[in-house]
This record gives sequence, structure tokens and C-alpha cells, in this order.
Amino acid sequence: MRRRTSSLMGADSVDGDGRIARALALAADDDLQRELRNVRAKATLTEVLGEAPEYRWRYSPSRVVRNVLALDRTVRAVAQDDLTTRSDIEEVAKGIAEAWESFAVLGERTERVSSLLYAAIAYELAGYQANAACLAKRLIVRNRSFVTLPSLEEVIGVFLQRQLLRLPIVAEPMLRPPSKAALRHQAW
Amino acid sequence: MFVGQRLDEQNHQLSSAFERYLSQRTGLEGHETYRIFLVWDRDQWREEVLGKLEALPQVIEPLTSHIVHISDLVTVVEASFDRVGIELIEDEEEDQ
Repeated sequence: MRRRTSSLMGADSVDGDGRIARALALAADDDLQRELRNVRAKATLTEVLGEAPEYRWRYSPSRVVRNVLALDRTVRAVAQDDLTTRSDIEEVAKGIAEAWESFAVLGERTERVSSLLYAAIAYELAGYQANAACLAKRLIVRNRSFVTLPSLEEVIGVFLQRQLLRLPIVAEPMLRPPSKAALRHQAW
Repeated sequence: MFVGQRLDEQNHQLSSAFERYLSQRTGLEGHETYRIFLVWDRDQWREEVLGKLEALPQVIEPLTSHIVHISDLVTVVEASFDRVGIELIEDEEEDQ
């Protein structure tokens, strides 16, 4: 399923204040790596067994989520800023994707849909487009007709699956200004 | 993610401090607090909203809820749309 494509990474301008160097140092932090291994193990066991076994898991959900968020923000900034190759940041993106995917299973300090979305985007940036498309499918309820207003996650899910002809149709309701009646209804 | 992006877009003075906070590995134990702000029409507010919040299985702690009551909130929202130049659609289906 995993297939690498060309990198979108790079970014000397993002690194003007040493942001990339700090992110790489954080990503390489032994304690964070240990915590991430615990998160992945717990998520895997939860998927296989239905629930995680009683065990003193050695990680702080709030700290790991916070740190992964920091790394994710840097990866996105690099991806937007430069087109030269940064394989080191790609590796960070892959680790982030795996972390978000695990938190989508565990639901700790995160919402499942947000975690899935972040994982799909991180896989995309890491060059794992097949993984991104696979996760993006899970953002959309099966046989969804999109008669009602789609969520932002669903629209992004359609985009990440590269359903580019379907995308404007799905997104169209979001581009319309709200009606007065809908506003009055939604206010409560 | 949203808060960080907004700070970055505005080149806000707290942006780099927020970045350091996210990256921090130690020293935050017991210092983090969480807040929810709800903006609600005064006549439509129901106390049971807070009950539903407390009933959620994984509420983050310590959590403080702030509820802002505004009279005739719809008028405020409509005026806000008008201010940013968005014209609301008159409803054709309302009588159907």
C-alpha cells in the first residue's frame, strides 16, 4: 500500500528562526519516541482485541498530542514554503501520521475525525499517498449523498481521494451564503 | 491547530510562545487549564447544556465553561454578515 512519490519538502525560509532544527530535535527526542511507541502499541492492541489490556502505559496523552501538533505545524509550514527535497522532514511527517492514526483509534485528547484527517494529510506530505487516500475514505460516511451540508473533513476527504470532479459538487453547499431561515434555525 | 494557524496568519506576538508551548516536554504538569466559550441567545439558553457537557466521557480537566448571553443573537449575527459583505439568501422554501 505504501508507495513513495516525489517530495514536496524543503524550506530554508521556514527555518529562518531554527524552527526546522527544533522540530527535528523534538522528533528525535528519546522520551517522545518511547511515548509514541507506547501509543502505537496501545492502538494496535485496541484494534486487535477491541480494547487495550490493563497495563501501565508509559505516556502522557496531553504531552504527546501537544508535541505531535508542534511537529505537524512545522511539517505543514515546510510543505507550503519550499519545493526542495527534505527527506528528514518527510520522515517526521510519517511519524506524525502514524501518531494521529493511533490517536484516531484511542480517542485520547483528540476527536477521531480530526485525528484521521491530520493522519491523512501527514501521510500525503510524507509521500504515502495510498495511505492518505485510504484514511480519507474513512472520513466520509458510506453512501453519503451530500444532500445536506458536508463537513469540512468530508470535503477534504474527497480531495485527498483525488475525486477532483466530485469535489466542486460536494463543496458547493459550503460556498453558498447561509439563508436567513437556516441562520435562525441553526442559531439554536 | 486552528489557533496556531490563526496566530501565524496574523503574525501575532504570541505565535512563537505558542510554538514553544507545543514543543515543550517538561514543566507543564499541573499548569494546563482548558476553557470553553459558548455564545448563546439569552432567551434560548438552557442549563441542561452544561449537564450534557459534564456527561461527556472524556472531558478535559481542569475545564472552565464561560457562557456569554446575548439578546437577539440572530440580529447580531446578521449584522456581522452584513459588515463583512456577505449577503444572506432570502428563503424561498420557508413557506413550503
